[in-house]
Amino acid sequence: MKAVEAVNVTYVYPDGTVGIRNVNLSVENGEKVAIVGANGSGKSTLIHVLSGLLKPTKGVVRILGVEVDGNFEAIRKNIGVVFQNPDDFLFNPTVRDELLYAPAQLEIPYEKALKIMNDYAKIFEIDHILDKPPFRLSGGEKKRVEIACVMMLKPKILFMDEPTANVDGRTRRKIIKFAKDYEGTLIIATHDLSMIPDVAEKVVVLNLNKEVEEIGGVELLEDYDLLERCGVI
Amino acid sequence: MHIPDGYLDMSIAGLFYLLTAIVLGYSIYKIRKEQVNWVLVGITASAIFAAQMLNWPIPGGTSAHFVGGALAGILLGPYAGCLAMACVLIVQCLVFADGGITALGANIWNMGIVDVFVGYYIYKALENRNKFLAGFLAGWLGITLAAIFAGIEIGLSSSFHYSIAVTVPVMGMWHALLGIVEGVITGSIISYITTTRPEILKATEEVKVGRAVWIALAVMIALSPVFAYLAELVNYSEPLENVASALGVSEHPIYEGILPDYTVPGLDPYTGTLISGIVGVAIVLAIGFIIQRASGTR
Amino acid sequence: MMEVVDRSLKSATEYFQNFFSFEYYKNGFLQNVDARVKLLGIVVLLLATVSTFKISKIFAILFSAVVLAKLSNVGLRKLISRVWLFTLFSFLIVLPLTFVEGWGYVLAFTLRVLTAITLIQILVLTTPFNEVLQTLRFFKIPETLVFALGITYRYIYMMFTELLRILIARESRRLKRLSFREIWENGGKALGAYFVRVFEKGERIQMAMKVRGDKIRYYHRPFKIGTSEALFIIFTTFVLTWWLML
Repeated sequence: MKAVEAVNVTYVYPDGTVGIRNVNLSVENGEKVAIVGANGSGKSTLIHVLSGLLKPTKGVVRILGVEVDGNFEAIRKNIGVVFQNPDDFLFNPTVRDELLYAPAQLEIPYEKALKIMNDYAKIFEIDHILDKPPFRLSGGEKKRVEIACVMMLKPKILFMDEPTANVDGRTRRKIIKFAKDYEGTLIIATHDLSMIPDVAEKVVVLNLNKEVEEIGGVELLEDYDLLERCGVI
Repeated sequence: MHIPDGYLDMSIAGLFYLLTAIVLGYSIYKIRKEQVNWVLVGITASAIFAAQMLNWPIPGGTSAHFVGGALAGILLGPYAGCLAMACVLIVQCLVFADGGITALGANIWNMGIVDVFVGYYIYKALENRNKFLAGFLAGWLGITLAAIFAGIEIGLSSSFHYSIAVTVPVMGMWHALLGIVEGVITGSIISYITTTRPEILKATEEVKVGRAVWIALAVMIALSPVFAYLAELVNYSEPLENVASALGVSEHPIYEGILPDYTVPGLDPYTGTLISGIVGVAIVLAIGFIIQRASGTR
Repeated sequence: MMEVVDRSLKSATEYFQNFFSFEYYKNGFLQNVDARVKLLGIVVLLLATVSTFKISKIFAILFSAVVLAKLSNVGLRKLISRVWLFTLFSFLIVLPLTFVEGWGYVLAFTLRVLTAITLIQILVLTTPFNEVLQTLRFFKIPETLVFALGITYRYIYMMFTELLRILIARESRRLKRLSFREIWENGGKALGAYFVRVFEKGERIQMAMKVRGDKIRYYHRPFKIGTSEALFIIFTTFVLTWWLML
């Protein structure tokens, strides 16, 4: 059973704009994949569709063998999605509430949740801001809180949409280390080409026509013709 | 709740165009005087427009839509809120053909004036008790009264052959039910905003209960005899009496429906009185709270 | 809340296809008629429609609306797809009255609604909103309202995508089935966060407009009274005369 599978997937937005076109992609368990493409090539759309948040207009997406459809709660706890803009994601009164939000929904015992929270708070260096409201944090802090929230349930599959965009050097290093050490299936959309070899084995290149141009290993990052053609460099 | 063309008599449509023009004109005047920026009004209007597109599932399998008039009033104050809702409704009419052009005056009156002003004043009256509750009642009552006005407009129109005794109860009760969704959503929005960024709500500003409130009250009081008169209309059911005798149904104070799955309510005099009673209570509540608030801020 | 996202996207699709649809019909009769004349003409025809219950009169207007549509390259199928819903709805509402009054009223009422909606649709499908705004300004509608309308129109799609993003992010954090009330409450909280963001955006846009000049002046198609307008006025007069005689 593959972790994520997309079969001939197309997504069209309400106003008729095509998000992604005819994508065929499969990701094995434990694989780490980087998705690269120009602005507007469909990276974010692909992340949303592959993680089951948007239903494809055409084609089928399967996550852990289950087709993306209505009764999705069971799968949700196995998936984590880190959004490009943490403001879309963070909405609880304090950071502590943010971190405990997911375990509370699943009725995980409080002590257990607290322990996990404290562990991640240390790892992401956010233990000093646990009582602050999220909207008062800096960009880097928000990003780290967001990732910590997602990790609270230790998801098997992790999606990240441009995680190192708009963050300072220190936070960027932390995020790269985190992605490297993550033991699960990782699908990461990014502009930050230099971090990819540290983090992924497989590379998917999207072209300007919102399709998959090429799938290969990290050596694709040296194919400058390909990258230039697709607007990546 | 958008009324299409063809449902209203020209006289009713014209009357409400006039009333709307007056209130909208006054709102624009107030906005200019207080230098509220129309950009913010336009942005809020487009946000409310977007929010109206959401489908909220309700028991029964269908969905309800959020209208947002009360919210507009609480966020921007009644005058700017009125302008914002007018923008929403005009764009819906002239870009999406949602709601009739001749009925636009009435639609703006219902969803852009009644919903907004009622929502605002109910919120002001209750905001010190409980934010969620204040928002809930503002949203719920705003929608219900807006629907009742729509029912009045359609019912009084001879173009629409259901009498006001049918339209007001149907619109009123149906939206009193749907209004629960509007109320919960409005209440949740408000309680969220007040806990995170309360300064955004125009409604939290100190407002001296001024002339405008008394004008609004006077209008509502002036209209209440109309409601009372309408209740009387319920007892007038001549055309249907003919039907009743034609069908051999005996004269009965409680008249069941003609069709099995489509009852024609409101021919029941009790329901008519009930509806005017609900409206009356709403008016009394509003008056009571406003007076309480007025004596509080003096 | 996936249902909210799903269903809302579906209905939004219909909405937004309306949004851009005036672009589909670039060349036709009505598109070339000055917006002021067009608006007045359509409103007059509308008034003619809703001030009578005589089926022949209503039908005359409906027929002329369809003629105008044809002349303006507005496809019949497209027109029908946009008018059938409210027409059917209106028909069903008054249908029970056939038992009380027979079919005359019911048919006339439905036809009125159908004709009125058709008239509005051909106006909307052949007139970009910018021209509508210029027309409103011409008819002395206050600047504040017209400017606010312009902003409302321009930002709708963007506001919708912002909202969608927030809802999708919330949905990604939902781990159990929610009751109806929980859906509404969570939705409300999401909308609360949304409106906070809207407010902040509004402030930034206000600043940007100050910098760019906040007196809204656009280069626009000049008002004109020429051949197309004359033809339109003649056509409308003819229809009204016919209506009067029926």
